[in-house]
Amino acid sequence: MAEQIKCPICGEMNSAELELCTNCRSPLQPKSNIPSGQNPTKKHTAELEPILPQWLREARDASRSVDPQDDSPDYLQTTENKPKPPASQPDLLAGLQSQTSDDDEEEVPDWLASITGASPKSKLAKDEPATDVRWVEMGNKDDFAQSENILAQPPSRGGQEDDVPAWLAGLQNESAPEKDELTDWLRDSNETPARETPAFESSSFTPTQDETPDWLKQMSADAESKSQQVSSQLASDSNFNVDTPDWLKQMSANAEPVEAKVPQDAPELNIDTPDWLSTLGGASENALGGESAAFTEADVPEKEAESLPPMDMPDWLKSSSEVPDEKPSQDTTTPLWLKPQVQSQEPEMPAWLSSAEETVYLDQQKEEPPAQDDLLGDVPDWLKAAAPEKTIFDSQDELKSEIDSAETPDWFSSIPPSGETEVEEKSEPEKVDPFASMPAFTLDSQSEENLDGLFTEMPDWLSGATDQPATSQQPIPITNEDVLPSSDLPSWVEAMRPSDSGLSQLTSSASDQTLESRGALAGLQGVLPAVPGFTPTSKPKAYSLKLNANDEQLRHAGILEDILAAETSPVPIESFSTLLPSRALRWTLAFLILAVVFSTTFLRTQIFSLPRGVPNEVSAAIQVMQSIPENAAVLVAFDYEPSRAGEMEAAATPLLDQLLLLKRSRFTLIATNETGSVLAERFISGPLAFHQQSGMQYTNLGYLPGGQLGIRAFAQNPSVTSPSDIFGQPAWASPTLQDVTALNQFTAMILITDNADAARVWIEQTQGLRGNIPFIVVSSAQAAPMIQPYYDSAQVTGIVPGLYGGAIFEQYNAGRPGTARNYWDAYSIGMLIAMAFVLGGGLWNLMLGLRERREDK
Amino acid sequence: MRVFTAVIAIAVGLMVLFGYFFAQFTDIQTLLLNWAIILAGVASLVGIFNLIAVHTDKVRRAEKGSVYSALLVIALVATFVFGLILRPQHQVMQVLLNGIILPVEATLMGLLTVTLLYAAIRLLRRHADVMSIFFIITAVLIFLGSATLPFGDVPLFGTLIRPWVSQIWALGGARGILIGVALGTLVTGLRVLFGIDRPYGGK
Repeated sequence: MAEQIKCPICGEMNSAELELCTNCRSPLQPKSNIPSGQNPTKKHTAELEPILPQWLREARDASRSVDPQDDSPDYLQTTENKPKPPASQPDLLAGLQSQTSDDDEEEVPDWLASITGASPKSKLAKDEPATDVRWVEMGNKDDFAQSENILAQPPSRGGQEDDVPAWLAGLQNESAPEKDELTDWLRDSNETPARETPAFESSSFTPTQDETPDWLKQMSADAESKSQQVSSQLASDSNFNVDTPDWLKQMSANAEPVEAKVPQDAPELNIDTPDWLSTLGGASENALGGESAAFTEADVPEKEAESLPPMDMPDWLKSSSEVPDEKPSQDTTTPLWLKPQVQSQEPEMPAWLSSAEETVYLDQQKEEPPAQDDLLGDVPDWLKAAAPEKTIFDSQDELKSEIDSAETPDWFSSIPPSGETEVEEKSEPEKVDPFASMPAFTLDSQSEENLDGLFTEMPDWLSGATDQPATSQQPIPITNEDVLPSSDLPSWVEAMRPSDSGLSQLTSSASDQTLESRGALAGLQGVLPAVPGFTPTSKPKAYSLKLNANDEQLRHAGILEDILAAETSPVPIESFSTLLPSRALRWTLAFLILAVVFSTTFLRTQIFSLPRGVPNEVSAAIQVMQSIPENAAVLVAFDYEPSRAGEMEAAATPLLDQLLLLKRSRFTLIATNETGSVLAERFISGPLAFHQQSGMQYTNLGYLPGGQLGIRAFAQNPSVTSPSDIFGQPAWASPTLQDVTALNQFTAMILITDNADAARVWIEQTQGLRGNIPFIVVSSAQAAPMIQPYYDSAQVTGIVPGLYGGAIFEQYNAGRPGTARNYWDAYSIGMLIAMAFVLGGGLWNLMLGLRERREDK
Repeated sequence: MRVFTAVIAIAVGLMVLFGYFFAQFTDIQTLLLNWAIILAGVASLVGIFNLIAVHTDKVRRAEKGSVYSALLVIALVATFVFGLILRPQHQVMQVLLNGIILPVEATLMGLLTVTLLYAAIRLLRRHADVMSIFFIITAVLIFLGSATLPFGDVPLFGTLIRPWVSQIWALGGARGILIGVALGTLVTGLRVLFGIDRPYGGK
């Protein structure tokens, strides 16, 4: 029967000669990096020797001097032959001599093989997990960032390459033989501590005088003797818990739920976990539990750590915290070159940690916080408080003292000289990046106690500000005493602070302790101090208020002041003696005037003679009336108020009576007043009633609206402006307006008005259109003086001023109709009485006034 | 819009103005003036209706003096209706004029006569200054010059002093007033024509 192999995929048994599974067509044998038919080429990395550290080159030279024929270093020789005392090994990797077996060449790691020129073992490279624990193992802080970068990058490799650590994958890669990552890594390990990590500056990682690092010596010497003691001591050392950082403790506590999610057939999550971390986690009942508890702060309850979500911790840390008892093979995450030694000596604890645990004196470190401050010198205090109290740097710091004494790294010294030579292969490495979704720090998972503990080392000003709302409602003033001393600030914060001079000035104004009660600065006191420059340092200088002005300026200022005073001061109202209204005088005046007027009017007395003198304007009007031909069309405009009807009718009646009586004129009546048309009808039916009864002809065009515009329009085209009379009949077709279509076709114009403005409008608006027809104005005695200039300028032919003019005109009309004469006695007596009262009363009151003013003075 | 109204006003004003000087613009001037007459008549009607509405509202609210408002509205409506129906020469309209309008206004003039006489008498008691004295003297001279005596005119006053005062002093003052009025009218017309003043709306 032919040899059969089992398909790793489907489990089907296939012939060994087949390459693919008959069932699932998957390859039966894993592919190797070396194609079939090719032999592995031996790599010589000696050309990279110049880039090796000095101590490593010296170690290599020393090994060559011992055995020039052999390219392998001493530590490899020791692994091939027999173990030698580690202290005598000058090589860096001398400690590996005790770990490796005697004759198995495959135990040589790839990276060592690349250095020594030995052929790499592909199996080891394939099984090497892609871990980022180098920083933990080597204590290089820069590897943190590198690991984060690795996390940030998506996994581009699959299969076997994912299982190989980055630093080993570079060695295994044949495509870049010139660049040895191990060399770089080792060089970085020597360079970066001095450059970036202050804690490592003081460490003894630099080679000593005997060309062998002390920590290597100590590691190799104490590896066997101390490895057995480490676990028990760590388990029993309760003080180790004190300095365990919170974040690490929580991670270890939350590792168990994550472990529960892992399928049974899945590879172990802790394959990426270094031994020292995997041995830290896990249950507290085993020895490693005690070690894990050693990383847990004593003041943090463990239940709180367990309550934290599992997502808050990377897998590699979870695995470190949940190392079960039934998994002794968890050290598969250990680098292959370390695993045999670990398995042989302490399967649950990394060798280097087991050797280092003896030197861990966490209580002492806790009692000496300045040591940690020195390590985190560039970290501000508040970040120091947030940072884990005990990190790998702490352990490195602890190692510092250990190295000083033994000068051998613990992880090297813990490597036993003997052990298994065959590294167990794990079935499948974890392909899922354990750091993909695990942030390093999750504040959400922190309990209040943890937060309190986290901020215990915060600066006072910050812790006080954060605790303020919880402690009291009243804002606690932050005084200058709370200001963080400049000596406690890191350099970069110190650089951001104001200059010392300004700070001193601010602190000098500490007297200004104003407590801000509102706004963003509520609760802060003295944060907005007054600028010292504004603080009066002396008595204000007294400035003279006296103006430097000469006499002239003062005089002008005085004048201006007087003007302003006169404007602002109230003008005293001249006081008069109360002059009570003389009701008796008013009644006396009214009674006398009415009695005389009524008596003379009703008695129709003709005592007073008519005026004899004829003014020129009246004489001109009389001449015009006498010159008007018979049966002529005369335009008569009525523009007076009913209150003046008595005066205007008495003044106009003799003129119109003469025209009707002697000339039989045809009157066309038009009114520019609302009551004018009615007054015109009253005038016809009143003083001229005689003529109306005898068949006088007249046409009343009614009211002409528009004021002067209407007068102008009527003057331009009267037939269009007033086409009909007050009865609605066509006016311009009546016998009255026969042969009349324009204003200048009238024989004469007579304006009866008591308003000077109305007379002006008629005169001005009809001047160019009326032609040479006579224009006589019958006005009131009040408006006659205002119309007189038009007469003097020949714009008006004649004026009949009021009753006085009517009385004169009536004398030239044979005394007809006698209206003026009937009013003239009353008019004359009334004028005389008024003159007497005004003159007599005025003189009397003048004397009374003079006497009163004299009495007042 | 304001520019549009200003352009219209200026154009109309210029055309009316040119109608005084150029015969070619007489027709358009007459047309525009007739429009103005119609608008003025409508404005009078609008004013009357507004007066009726205001006083009707007072009557409806029964405010103080609403009785007089009611009388005003009744008299206005009655006169308006009678005027439209009966025409001004009707006897009813004459009764309304002779019995109400004319006596009322004449009475006011009579009261004014007594009041002015009373004020003139007591003027010198309060202000015995030159102007008051001149006012009193002028009034006395005109009274004497206007009146006549039974035997004829008052010597010197009716034939010399009154004509001298009325034809010289009063005429001089009246001319000055008329010239001022003419200048004011001219400037106002020019401001309207140049669009500086816009009494039709806008600033």
